[in-house]
Amino acid sequence: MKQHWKIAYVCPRYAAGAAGGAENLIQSWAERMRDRGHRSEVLTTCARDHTTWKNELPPGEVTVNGIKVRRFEITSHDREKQDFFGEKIIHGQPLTRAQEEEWIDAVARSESLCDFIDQHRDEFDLFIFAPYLFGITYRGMKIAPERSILVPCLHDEPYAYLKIFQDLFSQAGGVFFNSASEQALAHRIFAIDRERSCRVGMGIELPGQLRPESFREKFAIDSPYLLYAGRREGGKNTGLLIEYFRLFKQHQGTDLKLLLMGTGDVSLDQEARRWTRDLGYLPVEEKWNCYAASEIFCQPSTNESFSIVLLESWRAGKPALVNAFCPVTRDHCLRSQGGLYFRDYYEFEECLLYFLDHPDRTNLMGENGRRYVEKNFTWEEVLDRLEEGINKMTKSNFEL
Amino acid sequence: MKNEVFEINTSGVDVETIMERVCERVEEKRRTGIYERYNLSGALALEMNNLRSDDAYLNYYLKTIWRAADVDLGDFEIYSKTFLIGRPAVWLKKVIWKLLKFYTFRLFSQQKDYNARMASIVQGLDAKYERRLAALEEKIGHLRQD
Repeated sequence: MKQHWKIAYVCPRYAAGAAGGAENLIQSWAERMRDRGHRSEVLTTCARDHTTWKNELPPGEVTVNGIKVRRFEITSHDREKQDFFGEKIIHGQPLTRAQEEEWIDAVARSESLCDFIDQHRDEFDLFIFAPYLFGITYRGMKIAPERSILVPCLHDEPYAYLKIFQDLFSQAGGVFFNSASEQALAHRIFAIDRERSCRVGMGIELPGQLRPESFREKFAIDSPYLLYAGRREGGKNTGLLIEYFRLFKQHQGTDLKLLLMGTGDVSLDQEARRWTRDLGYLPVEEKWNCYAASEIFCQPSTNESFSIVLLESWRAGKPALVNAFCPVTRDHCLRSQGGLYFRDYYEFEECLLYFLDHPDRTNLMGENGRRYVEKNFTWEEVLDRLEEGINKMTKSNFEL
Repeated sequence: MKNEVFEINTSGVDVETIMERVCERVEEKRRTGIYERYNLSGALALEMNNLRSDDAYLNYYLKTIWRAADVDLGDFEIYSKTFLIGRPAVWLKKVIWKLLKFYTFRLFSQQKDYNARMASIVQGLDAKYERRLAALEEKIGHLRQD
Protein backbone atom coordinates (compact mmCIF):
# COMPACT_ATOMS: atom_id res chain seq x y z
CA MET A 1 0.00 0.00 0.00
CA LYS A 2 1.31 3.43 -0.95
CA GLN A 3 2.11 5.70 2.00
CA HIS A 4 2.03 9.08 0.27
CA TRP A 5 -0.37 10.13 -2.43
CA LYS A 6 -0.42 12.83 -5.07
CA ILE A 7 -3.82 14.42 -4.67
CA ALA A 8 -5.60 16.97 -6.86
CA TYR A 9 -8.23 18.95 -4.96
CA VAL A 10 -10.95 20.26 -7.28
CA CYS A 11 -13.26 23.05 -6.12
CA PRO A 12 -15.05 25.89 -7.91
CA ARG A 13 -13.31 28.73 -6.06
CA TYR A 14 -9.99 29.06 -4.26
CA ALA A 15 -9.08 32.57 -3.19
CA ALA A 16 -8.85 34.48 0.06
CA GLY A 17 -12.17 36.14 0.85
CA ALA A 18 -14.03 34.24 -1.87
CA ALA A 19 -14.57 30.99 -0.10
CA GLY A 20 -17.53 29.25 1.45
CA GLY A 21 -17.39 26.32 3.87
CA ALA A 22 -16.48 23.70 1.24
CA GLU A 23 -13.64 25.80 -0.18
CA ASN A 24 -12.36 26.47 3.33
CA LEU A 25 -12.36 22.74 4.00
CA ILE A 26 -10.50 21.93 0.77
CA GLN A 27 -7.86 24.58 1.43
CA SER A 28 -7.25 23.23 4.95
CA TRP A 29 -7.08 19.60 3.77
CA ALA A 30 -4.67 20.47 0.92
CA GLU A 31 -2.27 22.38 3.17
CA ARG A 32 -2.36 19.93 6.07
CA MET A 33 -2.08 16.81 3.93
CA ARG A 34 0.97 18.43 2.27
CA ASP A 35 2.46 18.80 5.78
CA ARG A 36 1.95 15.06 6.28
CA GLY A 37 4.05 14.31 3.22
CA HIS A 38 1.33 13.97 0.56
CA ARG A 39 1.61 16.00 -2.64
CA SER A 40 -1.24 18.50 -3.00
CA GLU A 41 -2.36 20.46 -6.03
CA VAL A 42 -5.52 22.50 -6.47
CA LEU A 43 -7.58 22.70 -9.66
CA THR A 44 -10.04 25.56 -9.60
CA THR A 45 -11.61 28.32 -11.69
CA CYS A 46 -10.91 32.02 -12.18
CA ALA A 47 -14.14 32.97 -10.41
CA ARG A 48 -14.40 34.65 -7.01
CA ASP A 49 -18.16 35.20 -6.80
CA HIS A 50 -20.51 32.23 -6.74
CA THR A 51 -23.44 34.28 -8.04
CA THR A 52 -21.88 35.91 -11.13
CA TRP A 53 -19.15 33.31 -11.87
CA LYS A 54 -17.16 36.04 -13.61
CA ASN A 55 -13.56 35.16 -14.55
CA GLU A 56 -12.03 37.71 -12.19
CA LEU A 57 -8.68 36.02 -11.55
CA PRO A 58 -6.13 35.30 -14.31
CA PRO A 59 -5.92 31.71 -15.62
CA GLY A 60 -2.68 29.76 -15.04
CA GLU A 61 -0.53 28.62 -12.15
CA VAL A 62 -0.04 30.40 -8.84
CA THR A 63 1.23 29.32 -5.43
CA VAL A 64 -1.07 29.92 -2.45
CA ASN A 65 0.41 29.14 0.98
CA GLY A 66 2.90 26.78 -0.66
CA ILE A 67 0.23 24.89 -2.66
CA LYS A 68 0.30 24.86 -6.47
CA VAL A 69 -3.04 26.22 -7.70
CA ARG A 70 -4.07 25.92 -11.35
CA ARG A 71 -6.89 28.23 -12.39
CA PHE A 72 -9.12 27.58 -15.41
CA GLU A 73 -11.67 29.86 -17.01
CA ILE A 74 -15.38 29.33 -16.51
CA THR A 75 -16.65 28.47 -19.98
CA SER A 76 -20.36 28.34 -19.31
CA HIS A 77 -22.62 30.09 -16.87
CA ASP A 78 -26.17 30.94 -17.88
CA ARG A 79 -27.98 32.71 -15.06
CA GLU A 80 -31.30 32.78 -16.89
CA LYS A 81 -31.27 29.05 -17.58
CA GLN A 82 -30.03 28.31 -14.06
CA ASP A 83 -32.98 30.23 -12.56
CA PHE A 84 -35.51 28.82 -15.04
CA PHE A 85 -34.70 25.18 -14.24
CA GLY A 86 -33.83 25.98 -10.63
CA GLU A 87 -37.36 27.25 -9.95
CA LYS A 88 -38.83 24.07 -11.43
CA ILE A 89 -36.56 21.91 -9.26
CA ILE A 90 -37.44 23.82 -6.10
CA HIS A 91 -41.15 23.42 -6.81
CA GLY A 92 -40.79 19.69 -7.41
CA GLN A 93 -41.56 19.77 -11.14
CA PRO A 94 -39.92 16.79 -12.86
CA LEU A 95 -37.12 17.44 -15.36
CA THR A 96 -35.69 15.06 -17.91
CA ARG A 97 -32.12 13.92 -17.42
CA ALA A 98 -31.02 16.15 -20.31
CA GLN A 99 -32.69 19.17 -18.68
CA GLU A 100 -31.01 18.36 -15.36
CA GLU A 101 -27.65 18.30 -17.15
CA GLU A 102 -28.48 21.57 -18.88
CA TRP A 103 -29.19 23.08 -15.47
CA ILE A 104 -25.98 21.83 -13.80
CA ASP A 105 -23.91 23.11 -16.75
CA ALA A 106 -25.68 26.45 -16.52
CA VAL A 107 -24.63 26.83 -12.88
CA ALA A 108 -20.89 26.79 -13.67
CA ARG A 109 -18.74 24.69 -15.97
CA SER A 110 -15.12 24.81 -17.08
CA GLU A 111 -14.19 22.85 -20.22
CA SER A 112 -10.48 23.56 -19.81
CA LEU A 113 -10.50 22.22 -16.25
CA CYS A 114 -12.18 19.00 -17.42
CA ASP A 115 -9.68 18.72 -20.31
CA PHE A 116 -6.82 19.06 -17.84
CA ILE A 117 -8.21 16.25 -15.65
CA ASP A 118 -8.67 14.08 -18.72
CA GLN A 119 -5.13 14.66 -20.02
CA HIS A 120 -3.39 14.35 -16.64
CA ARG A 121 -5.56 11.76 -14.88
CA ASP A 122 -2.69 9.26 -14.58
CA GLU A 123 -0.39 11.81 -12.94
CA PHE A 124 -2.58 11.94 -9.83
CA ASP A 125 -3.41 9.14 -7.42
CA LEU A 126 -6.65 10.78 -6.37
CA PHE A 127 -9.01 13.63 -7.18
CA ILE A 128 -10.99 15.13 -4.31
CA PHE A 129 -14.04 17.12 -5.41
CA ALA A 130 -16.15 19.51 -3.28
CA PRO A 131 -19.01 20.44 -3.10
CA TYR A 132 -21.45 18.34 -5.16
CA LEU A 133 -23.75 21.04 -6.57
CA PHE A 134 -21.64 22.39 -9.45
CA GLY A 135 -20.99 21.47 -13.05
CA ILE A 136 -17.25 21.40 -12.27
CA THR A 137 -17.79 18.53 -9.84
CA TYR A 138 -20.40 16.74 -11.94
CA ARG A 139 -18.42 16.84 -15.20
CA GLY A 140 -14.99 16.46 -13.55
CA MET A 141 -15.89 13.36 -11.57
CA LYS A 142 -17.21 11.58 -14.66
CA ILE A 143 -13.68 11.54 -16.14
CA ALA A 144 -12.09 9.22 -13.57
CA PRO A 145 -14.81 8.22 -11.08
CA GLU A 146 -12.92 5.25 -9.63
CA ARG A 147 -10.15 7.52 -8.35
CA SER A 148 -12.44 10.42 -7.42
CA ILE A 149 -13.54 11.22 -3.89
CA LEU A 150 -16.65 13.33 -3.46
CA VAL A 151 -16.97 15.64 -0.45
CA PRO A 152 -20.60 16.60 -1.10
CA CYS A 153 -21.39 19.05 1.75
CA LEU A 154 -24.94 17.78 1.32
CA HIS A 155 -28.16 19.35 2.66
CA ASP A 156 -31.70 18.03 2.43
CA GLU A 157 -32.67 20.19 -0.53
CA PRO A 158 -34.66 19.56 -3.74
CA TYR A 159 -31.48 19.56 -5.89
CA ALA A 160 -30.16 16.51 -4.03
CA TYR A 161 -33.01 14.40 -5.44
CA LEU A 162 -32.10 14.94 -9.12
CA LYS A 163 -31.39 11.86 -11.23
CA ILE A 164 -27.93 13.09 -12.26
CA PHE A 165 -26.70 12.98 -8.67
CA GLN A 166 -27.72 9.34 -8.23
CA ASP A 167 -24.92 8.37 -10.64
CA LEU A 168 -22.47 10.87 -9.18
CA PHE A 169 -22.79 9.43 -5.68
CA SER A 170 -23.00 5.77 -6.65
CA GLN A 171 -20.04 5.88 -9.07
CA ALA A 172 -17.65 7.89 -6.89
CA GLY A 173 -14.60 5.99 -5.64
CA GLY A 174 -15.34 7.35 -2.17
CA VAL A 175 -17.79 9.73 -0.53
CA PHE A 176 -16.49 11.60 2.50
CA PHE A 177 -18.90 13.39 4.85
CA ASN A 178 -18.59 16.11 7.42
CA SER A 179 -21.09 14.79 9.95
CA ALA A 180 -23.12 11.74 10.93
CA SER A 181 -26.40 13.45 9.93
CA GLU A 182 -25.07 14.33 6.49
CA GLN A 183 -23.90 10.74 6.01
CA ALA A 184 -27.28 9.34 7.12
CA LEU A 185 -29.07 11.69 4.71
CA ALA A 186 -26.85 10.62 1.81
CA HIS A 187 -27.43 6.92 2.53
CA ARG A 188 -31.17 7.60 2.56
CA ILE A 189 -31.14 9.36 -0.84
CA PHE A 190 -28.36 7.57 -2.74
CA ALA A 191 -27.13 4.04 -3.24
CA ILE A 192 -23.68 4.32 -1.64
CA ASP A 193 -21.61 1.30 -0.72
CA ARG A 194 -20.74 1.49 3.04
CA GLU A 195 -17.13 0.58 2.22
CA ARG A 196 -16.75 3.77 0.22
CA SER A 197 -18.36 6.08 2.75
CA CYS A 198 -16.80 7.70 5.80
CA ARG A 199 -16.93 10.75 8.05
CA VAL A 200 -13.98 13.13 8.10
CA GLY A 201 -14.88 16.74 8.92
CA MET A 202 -12.50 19.59 9.55
CA GLY A 203 -10.08 20.44 12.32
CA ILE A 204 -10.95 23.38 14.55
CA GLU A 205 -8.03 24.78 16.49
CA LEU A 206 -7.38 28.07 18.26
CA PRO A 207 -4.96 30.39 16.45
CA GLY A 208 -3.42 31.42 19.80
CA GLN A 209 -4.39 33.13 23.04
CA LEU A 210 -7.91 34.59 22.96
CA ARG A 211 -8.31 38.23 24.02
CA PRO A 212 -12.01 39.07 24.37
CA GLU A 213 -11.35 42.25 26.41
CA SER A 214 -9.11 43.80 23.77
CA PHE A 215 -11.76 42.97 21.14
CA ARG A 216 -14.48 44.73 23.17
CA GLU A 217 -12.20 47.70 23.67
CA LYS A 218 -11.18 47.95 20.01
CA PHE A 219 -14.77 47.87 18.73
CA ALA A 220 -16.22 49.82 21.70
CA ILE A 221 -18.63 47.04 22.67
CA ASP A 222 -19.97 47.37 26.21
CA SER A 223 -23.13 45.19 26.06
CA PRO A 224 -23.44 41.43 26.08
CA TYR A 225 -24.18 40.11 22.60
CA LEU A 226 -25.66 37.24 20.66
CA LEU A 227 -23.30 36.46 17.77
CA TYR A 228 -23.98 35.38 14.21
CA ALA A 229 -21.00 34.53 12.00
CA GLY A 230 -20.90 33.43 8.36
CA ARG A 231 -22.30 34.41 4.98
CA ARG A 232 -25.24 36.80 5.31
CA GLU A 233 -27.91 35.64 2.87
CA GLY A 234 -31.46 34.28 2.72
CA GLY A 235 -30.28 30.67 2.50
CA LYS A 236 -28.53 31.08 5.85
CA ASN A 237 -31.60 32.63 7.54
CA THR A 238 -29.76 35.80 8.55
CA GLY A 239 -32.90 37.87 7.88
CA LEU A 240 -34.96 35.55 10.04
CA LEU A 241 -32.51 35.93 12.93
CA ILE A 242 -32.73 39.74 12.68
CA GLU A 243 -36.57 39.55 12.71
CA TYR A 244 -36.56 37.18 15.67
CA PHE A 245 -34.17 39.42 17.55
CA ARG A 246 -36.38 42.43 16.75
CA LEU A 247 -39.30 40.66 18.43
CA PHE A 248 -37.08 39.66 21.34
CA LYS A 249 -36.06 43.27 21.93
CA GLN A 250 -39.68 44.42 21.64
CA HIS A 251 -40.93 42.01 24.30
CA GLN A 252 -38.01 41.41 26.66
CA GLY A 253 -36.25 44.05 28.70
CA THR A 254 -32.64 43.01 28.24
CA ASP A 255 -29.50 44.79 27.13
CA LEU A 256 -28.47 41.83 24.96
CA LYS A 257 -27.48 42.96 21.44
CA LEU A 258 -27.03 41.20 18.12
CA LEU A 259 -23.60 41.20 16.52
CA LEU A 260 -23.05 40.06 12.93
CA MET A 261 -19.76 39.16 11.28
CA GLY A 262 -18.99 37.67 7.89
CA THR A 263 -19.39 38.42 4.19
CA GLY A 264 -22.47 39.42 2.19
CA ASP A 265 -24.89 42.31 2.33
CA VAL A 266 -27.23 42.72 5.24
CA SER A 267 -30.04 45.25 5.33
CA LEU A 268 -30.80 46.84 8.69
CA ASP A 269 -33.51 49.45 9.19
CA GLN A 270 -33.17 52.32 11.67
CA GLU A 271 -34.80 50.36 14.51
CA ALA A 272 -32.58 47.31 13.96
CA ARG A 273 -29.44 49.46 13.94
CA ARG A 274 -30.16 50.41 17.58
CA TRP A 275 -29.49 46.86 18.77
CA THR A 276 -27.51 45.30 15.92
CA ARG A 277 -23.87 45.82 15.07
CA ASP A 278 -22.48 44.61 11.75
CA LEU A 279 -18.70 44.15 11.75
CA GLY A 280 -18.47 42.58 8.28
CA TYR A 281 -15.49 40.39 7.42
CA LEU A 282 -12.91 40.12 10.24
CA PRO A 283 -9.32 38.81 10.07
CA VAL A 284 -8.75 35.41 11.74
CA GLU A 285 -7.44 36.67 15.08
CA GLU A 286 -10.25 39.19 15.53
CA LYS A 287 -12.83 36.61 14.47
CA TRP A 288 -11.72 34.30 17.29
CA ASN A 289 -11.69 37.14 19.82
CA CYS A 290 -15.20 38.02 18.67
CA TYR A 291 -16.36 34.46 19.45
CA ALA A 292 -14.69 34.63 22.87
CA ALA A 293 -16.29 37.98 23.73
CA SER A 294 -19.84 36.83 22.88
CA GLU A 295 -22.44 35.48 25.34
CA ILE A 296 -24.19 33.05 23.01
CA PHE A 297 -23.62 32.00 19.41
CA CYS A 298 -26.62 31.58 17.08
CA GLN A 299 -26.67 29.48 13.89
CA PRO A 300 -30.18 29.98 12.37
CA SER A 301 -29.40 28.22 9.07
CA THR A 302 -31.11 24.96 8.12
CA ASN A 303 -28.66 24.30 5.25
CA GLU A 304 -25.55 23.06 7.02
CA SER A 305 -23.49 19.94 6.40
CA PHE A 306 -20.94 20.72 9.13
CA SER A 307 -21.12 24.37 10.32
CA ILE A 308 -17.54 25.48 10.85
CA VAL A 309 -18.65 28.65 12.65
CA LEU A 310 -20.69 26.68 15.21
CA LEU A 311 -17.69 24.49 16.06
CA GLU A 312 -15.38 27.51 16.20
CA SER A 313 -17.66 29.25 18.69
CA TRP A 314 -17.74 26.09 20.82
CA ARG A 315 -13.94 25.90 20.64
CA ALA A 316 -13.97 29.42 22.10
CA GLY A 317 -16.19 28.04 24.92
CA LYS A 318 -19.51 29.66 24.00
CA PRO A 319 -22.93 27.94 24.13
CA ALA A 320 -24.99 27.74 20.96
CA LEU A 321 -28.53 28.28 19.80
CA VAL A 322 -29.36 26.53 16.52
CA ASN A 323 -32.29 25.92 14.21
CA ALA A 324 -34.03 22.65 15.16
CA PHE A 325 -34.87 22.04 11.49
CA CYS A 326 -31.19 21.57 10.64
CA PRO A 327 -30.40 17.92 11.51
CA VAL A 328 -26.64 18.54 11.46
CA THR A 329 -26.44 21.42 13.96
CA ARG A 330 -29.18 19.93 16.17
CA ASP A 331 -27.26 16.66 16.22
CA HIS A 332 -24.07 18.53 17.17
CA CYS A 333 -25.98 20.08 20.11
CA LEU A 334 -27.31 16.74 21.32
CA ARG A 335 -23.96 14.98 21.03
CA SER A 336 -22.02 17.78 22.70
CA GLN A 337 -24.70 18.95 25.19
CA GLY A 338 -23.43 22.35 24.16
CA GLY A 339 -26.51 24.16 22.91
CA LEU A 340 -30.28 24.52 22.53
CA TYR A 341 -32.46 24.57 19.42
CA PHE A 342 -35.61 26.41 18.30
CA ARG A 343 -38.43 25.65 15.86
CA ASP A 344 -40.17 29.02 15.94
CA TYR A 345 -39.93 32.46 17.50
CA TYR A 346 -41.50 31.42 20.82
CA GLU A 347 -38.88 28.73 21.37
CA PHE A 348 -36.14 31.11 20.23
CA GLU A 349 -37.24 33.63 22.87
CA GLU A 350 -37.57 31.02 25.60
CA CYS A 351 -34.14 29.51 24.83
CA LEU A 352 -32.51 32.94 25.01
CA LEU A 353 -34.26 33.64 28.32
CA TYR A 354 -33.06 30.27 29.63
CA PHE A 355 -29.47 31.15 28.73
CA LEU A 356 -29.73 34.56 30.40
CA ASP A 357 -31.48 33.26 33.53
CA HIS A 358 -29.15 30.27 34.09
CA PRO A 359 -25.58 31.52 33.72
CA ASP A 360 -24.06 28.42 35.37
CA ARG A 361 -25.78 26.00 33.00
CA THR A 362 -25.01 28.31 30.09
CA ASN A 363 -21.29 28.27 30.94
CA LEU A 364 -21.42 24.50 31.30
CA MET A 365 -22.93 24.19 27.82
CA GLY A 366 -20.10 26.33 26.43
CA GLU A 367 -17.59 24.11 28.23
CA ASN A 368 -19.26 20.95 26.85
CA GLY A 369 -19.04 22.42 23.35
CA ARG A 370 -15.36 23.18 23.80
CA ARG A 371 -14.64 19.59 24.96
CA TYR A 372 -16.67 18.15 22.07
CA VAL A 373 -14.58 20.05 19.52
CA GLU A 374 -11.31 19.29 21.29
CA LYS A 375 -12.11 15.60 21.40
CA ASN A 376 -13.39 15.12 17.85
CA PHE A 377 -12.09 17.92 15.65
CA THR A 378 -8.37 18.35 16.20
CA TRP A 379 -6.44 18.27 12.94
CA GLU A 380 -4.60 15.17 14.09
CA GLU A 381 -7.91 13.28 14.44
CA VAL A 382 -9.35 14.65 11.21
CA LEU A 383 -6.30 13.85 9.07
CA ASP A 384 -6.09 10.35 10.57
CA ARG A 385 -9.73 9.85 9.53
CA LEU A 386 -9.01 11.27 6.06
CA GLU A 387 -6.03 8.94 5.51
CA GLU A 388 -7.97 6.00 6.88
CA GLY A 389 -10.87 6.81 4.55
CA ILE A 390 -8.55 6.98 1.54
CA ASN A 391 -6.94 3.68 2.54
CA LYS A 392 -10.36 2.05 2.91
CA MET A 393 -11.48 3.39 -0.46
CA THR A 394 -8.34 2.30 -2.28
CA LYS A 395 -8.58 -1.19 -0.76
CA SER A 396 -12.11 -1.64 -2.08
CA ASN A 397 -11.45 -0.01 -5.48
CA PHE A 398 -7.83 -0.50 -6.46
CA GLU A 399 -4.37 -0.63 -4.97
CA LEU A 400 -2.46 2.62 -5.41
CA MET B 1 -11.66 2.89 14.59
CA LYS B 2 -11.30 6.62 13.98
CA ASN B 3 -14.57 6.91 12.09
CA GLU B 4 -16.59 5.79 15.09
CA VAL B 5 -15.88 8.89 17.18
CA PHE B 6 -17.99 12.07 17.20
CA GLU B 7 -19.30 11.45 20.73
CA ILE B 8 -18.67 13.10 24.06
CA ASN B 9 -19.70 12.05 27.55
CA THR B 10 -20.68 15.01 29.66
CA SER B 11 -22.47 15.66 32.91
CA GLY B 12 -24.30 18.54 34.51
CA VAL B 13 -26.49 19.51 31.55
CA ASP B 14 -29.19 17.56 29.78
CA VAL B 15 -30.13 19.48 26.66
CA GLU B 16 -33.22 17.38 25.94
CA THR B 17 -34.61 17.99 29.44
CA ILE B 18 -33.96 21.73 29.10
CA MET B 19 -35.75 21.70 25.74
CA GLU B 20 -38.74 19.94 27.31
CA ARG B 21 -38.88 22.72 29.91
CA VAL B 22 -38.58 25.35 27.19
CA CYS B 23 -41.54 23.81 25.29
CA GLU B 24 -43.63 23.57 28.49
CA ARG B 25 -42.93 27.22 29.24
CA VAL B 26 -43.97 28.19 25.69
CA GLU B 27 -47.24 26.26 26.09
CA GLU B 28 -47.88 27.90 29.45
CA LYS B 29 -47.36 31.38 27.99
CA ARG B 30 -49.59 30.49 25.06
CA ARG B 31 -52.39 29.40 27.42
CA THR B 32 -52.16 32.59 29.46
CA GLY B 33 -52.41 34.70 26.30
CA ILE B 34 -49.00 36.37 26.58
CA TYR B 35 -48.26 35.80 22.91
CA GLU B 36 -51.45 37.55 21.76
CA ARG B 37 -49.57 40.85 21.89
CA TYR B 38 -46.87 39.58 19.53
CA ASN B 39 -46.90 40.50 15.85
CA LEU B 40 -45.03 37.71 14.09
CA SER B 41 -45.99 38.58 10.51
CA GLY B 42 -42.47 39.73 9.49
CA ALA B 43 -40.82 36.62 10.91
CA LEU B 44 -43.49 34.26 9.57
CA ALA B 45 -42.96 35.49 6.01
CA LEU B 46 -39.27 34.59 6.32
CA GLU B 47 -40.04 31.24 7.95
CA MET B 48 -42.23 30.39 4.95
CA ASN B 49 -39.10 30.46 2.73
CA ASN B 50 -38.02 27.25 4.41
CA LEU B 51 -41.28 25.50 3.68
CA ARG B 52 -40.27 24.80 0.11
CA SER B 53 -37.10 23.05 1.04
CA ASP B 54 -37.62 21.30 4.33
CA ASP B 55 -40.01 18.45 5.02
CA ALA B 56 -39.57 18.77 8.77
CA TYR B 57 -40.57 22.43 8.65
CA LEU B 58 -43.73 21.59 6.72
CA ASN B 59 -44.61 18.77 9.08
CA TYR B 60 -44.24 21.07 12.07
CA TYR B 61 -46.61 23.64 10.56
CA LEU B 62 -49.11 20.95 9.63
CA LYS B 63 -49.10 19.79 13.24
CA THR B 64 -49.55 23.26 14.67
CA ILE B 65 -52.00 24.68 12.12
CA TRP B 66 -54.95 24.02 14.43
CA ARG B 67 -53.45 26.17 17.14
CA ALA B 68 -53.66 29.18 14.82
CA ALA B 69 -56.95 28.21 13.20
CA ASP B 70 -58.85 27.83 16.46
CA VAL B 71 -59.52 31.52 17.20
CA ASP B 72 -60.65 32.04 20.82
CA LEU B 73 -64.05 33.75 20.74
CA GLY B 74 -64.60 33.61 24.50
CA ASP B 75 -64.23 36.57 26.80
CA PHE B 76 -60.70 37.44 27.91
CA GLU B 77 -59.61 39.28 30.99
CA ILE B 78 -59.96 43.03 30.58
CA TYR B 79 -57.53 45.01 32.71
CA SER B 80 -55.88 48.38 32.96
CA LYS B 81 -52.21 49.11 33.57
CA THR B 82 -53.01 52.54 35.11
CA PHE B 83 -53.85 52.48 38.82
CA LEU B 84 -55.63 55.86 39.11
CA ILE B 85 -58.15 55.50 36.32
CA GLY B 86 -58.01 51.71 36.36
CA ARG B 87 -61.60 50.86 37.42
CA PRO B 88 -63.45 53.27 35.10
CA ALA B 89 -61.11 52.32 32.24
CA VAL B 90 -61.85 48.63 32.74
CA TRP B 91 -65.62 49.33 32.93
CA LEU B 92 -65.45 51.37 29.69
CA LYS B 93 -63.45 48.69 27.88
CA LYS B 94 -65.98 46.05 28.96
CA VAL B 95 -68.86 48.12 27.62
CA ILE B 96 -67.06 48.70 24.30
CA TRP B 97 -66.25 44.99 24.01
CA LYS B 98 -69.86 43.97 24.70
CA LEU B 99 -71.14 46.38 22.05
CA LEU B 100 -68.55 45.24 19.52
CA LYS B 101 -69.11 41.59 20.30
CA PHE B 102 -72.74 41.88 19.32
CA TYR B 103 -71.73 42.94 15.80
CA THR B 104 -68.50 41.04 15.34
CA PHE B 105 -69.34 37.64 16.83
CA ARG B 106 -70.98 36.46 13.62
CA LEU B 107 -67.96 37.54 11.60
CA PHE B 108 -65.54 35.82 14.00
CA SER B 109 -67.52 32.58 14.03
CA GLN B 110 -67.63 32.54 10.21
CA GLN B 111 -63.86 33.10 10.14
CA LYS B 112 -63.37 30.32 12.68
CA ASP B 113 -65.52 27.98 10.59
CA TYR B 114 -63.45 28.85 7.48
CA ASN B 115 -60.15 28.36 9.36
CA ALA B 116 -61.27 24.97 10.63
CA ARG B 117 -62.26 23.82 7.15
CA MET B 118 -58.99 25.03 5.63
CA ALA B 119 -56.90 23.36 8.34
CA SER B 120 -58.83 20.11 7.86
CA ILE B 121 -58.40 20.23 4.08
CA VAL B 122 -54.66 20.89 4.28
CA GLN B 123 -54.10 18.14 6.84
CA GLY B 124 -56.40 15.78 4.95
CA LEU B 125 -54.56 16.35 1.67
CA ASP B 126 -51.23 15.81 3.36
CA ALA B 127 -52.43 12.54 4.93
CA LYS B 128 -53.90 11.39 1.62
CA TYR B 129 -50.70 11.94 -0.37
CA GLU B 130 -48.60 10.54 2.45
CA ARG B 131 -50.59 7.29 2.20
CA ARG B 132 -50.34 7.24 -1.60
CA LEU B 133 -46.58 7.83 -1.49
CA ALA B 134 -46.13 5.07 1.11
CA ALA B 135 -48.12 2.65 -1.09
CA LEU B 136 -46.04 3.60 -4.14
CA GLU B 137 -42.77 3.22 -2.25
CA GLU B 138 -43.88 -0.22 -1.05
CA LYS B 139 -44.74 -1.18 -4.62
CA ILE B 140 -41.33 0.03 -5.86
CA GLY B 141 -39.69 -2.01 -3.10
CA HIS B 142 -41.53 -5.16 -4.24
CA LEU B 143 -40.65 -4.50 -7.89
CA ARG B 144 -36.97 -4.06 -6.99
CA GLN B 145 -37.01 -7.36 -5.09
CA ASP B 146 -38.59 -9.14 -8.09
